[in-house]
Amino acid sequence: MTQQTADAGFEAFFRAEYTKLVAIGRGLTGSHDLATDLAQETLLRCHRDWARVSTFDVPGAWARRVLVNLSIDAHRAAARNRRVPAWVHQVEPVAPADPAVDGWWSAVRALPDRQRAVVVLHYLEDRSVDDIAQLLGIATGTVKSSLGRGRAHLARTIGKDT
Amino acid sequence: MDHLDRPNQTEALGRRAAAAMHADVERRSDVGDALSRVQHGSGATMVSLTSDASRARRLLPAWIGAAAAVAVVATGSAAFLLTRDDGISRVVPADTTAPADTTSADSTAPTNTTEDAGAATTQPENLAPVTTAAPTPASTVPSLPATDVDALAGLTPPAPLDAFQVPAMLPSTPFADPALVRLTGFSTPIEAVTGLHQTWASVDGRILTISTAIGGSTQRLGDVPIEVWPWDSAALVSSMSDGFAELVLRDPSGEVSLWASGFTGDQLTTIARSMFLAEGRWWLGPDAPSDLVRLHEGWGRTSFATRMLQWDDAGRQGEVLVTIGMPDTIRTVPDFAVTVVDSINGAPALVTDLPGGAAISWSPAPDVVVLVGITGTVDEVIELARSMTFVDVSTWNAAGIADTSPADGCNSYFFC
Repeated sequence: MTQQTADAGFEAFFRAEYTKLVAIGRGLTGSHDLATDLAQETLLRCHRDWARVSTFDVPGAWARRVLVNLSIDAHRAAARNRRVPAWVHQVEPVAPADPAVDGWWSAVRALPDRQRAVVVLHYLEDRSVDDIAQLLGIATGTVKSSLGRGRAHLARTIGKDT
Repeated sequence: MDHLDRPNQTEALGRRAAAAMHADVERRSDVGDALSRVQHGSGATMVSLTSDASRARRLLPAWIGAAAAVAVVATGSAAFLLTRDDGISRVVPADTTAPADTTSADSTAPTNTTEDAGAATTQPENLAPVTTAAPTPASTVPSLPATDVDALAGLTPPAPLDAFQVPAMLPSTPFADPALVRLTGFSTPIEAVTGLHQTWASVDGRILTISTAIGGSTQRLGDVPIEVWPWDSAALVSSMSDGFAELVLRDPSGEVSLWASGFTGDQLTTIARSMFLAEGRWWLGPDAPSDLVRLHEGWGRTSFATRMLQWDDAGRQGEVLVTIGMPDTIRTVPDFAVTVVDSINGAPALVTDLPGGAAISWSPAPDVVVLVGITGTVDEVIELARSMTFVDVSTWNAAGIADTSPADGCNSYFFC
């Protein structure tokens, strides 16, 4: 692979994945700015290691895993000690004209890390349980369990709010 | 709204929320600018986080974070080493004056969960729950500031070790089908001691953790200074979520942090001002709530070790996590209210009623925390916890199938 080919390949990959990764990051964190950082950090890692990443069957799956793990690490650092992460103050509405949508995303952000990742990937990208399990490197049963619990929590939260 | 409609409504709203998210992100994103930033390496503001250690931590519940593994357990003047010199779990009296044996241990991770089935029984008979008793103040706590007092005198961290083994525990009732049971063991090389953690709880679920870290402290921007004798400085952490409070006491040689749920900053300040030093530790004094019981004491380290047992029988799921040196695990699931149960074989326990399940945590011995979650009721999880006993490694290995998957995600049913 020549450098020119590699550059072109990465650019195509970037353009195809960037906004999807930002959306996942925003679903996970609630902050557009932080999601942008997460997506760019993820894609920077892809860029640095593109010779290897480009040989993966689905480079986008690897990128999603990196992004999810980065967001979890960022979230845990604050959440573990119940300190308020900076991005809490930066949460911006997704759809100002549709409060139910923002209520949904607020409820998603309240889920535990793994449930949140599973729910976001399932709804934002319409991914199957098997697909999410492979993408996150966790057991299928864990994905089913996480998705089931996440949905149950969301249903309860939405019910309370309506 | 009829609750029977909620699943469908949840699905429909989820799809609508996803579409709205994609539309808003598309509207706000400048792909060309972002591409340029990444191609020039200037786009990232996040710290690189996917180190081996970080990946390994993801095997643990989310709230454990950078918790630790500990091989020295201490209660009063007695100390024990949990060693892994021959592939079995055992507890032996420790010679605290001798250096740890570092020649026979395999410090590489992960721990093989299919340990020598012929290993000797390792029932740690000398493990006992953390006592709820605490020293009483030897004298009245002075109220005048003094600047020449070493507030951390007497606390000596354990020497770093590189061999450890988490005790194996099983419910007393054997599993009907071991093929449905998954066993996971994991450890990373022990690196450094981060501090001593003591966790207390009230019957109504308020939690207080006193963490003592030797060797420096970190001043946080925005913290609110207060005065607490004999500390050089003290402050209330300003960025806490509602219902939580943290107070940090700083000395040149280290710091003591009081982290609490269900207490206000003022209440923490009152507690901090009546604390006293004994046995090298800071203890709750007379102004602390009298209904607090001590749940756990253990050293944190920048690494960890755990055994996890999971079963899934047609949707009836359960999980047992036994850890050494991961103090945060005693908090079960911090997002949910807890109550204290007295007792699990002599140890007070925290119980959490989860959506669709229940969880319980207790410390059967210093540094050891057991966490159990099931898709069942609080009463059922308490009953299960009370049936848990230490077993030898061969018995543990026979209870299920070793999970040898290379997955580096968190596989917990309940705690992620």
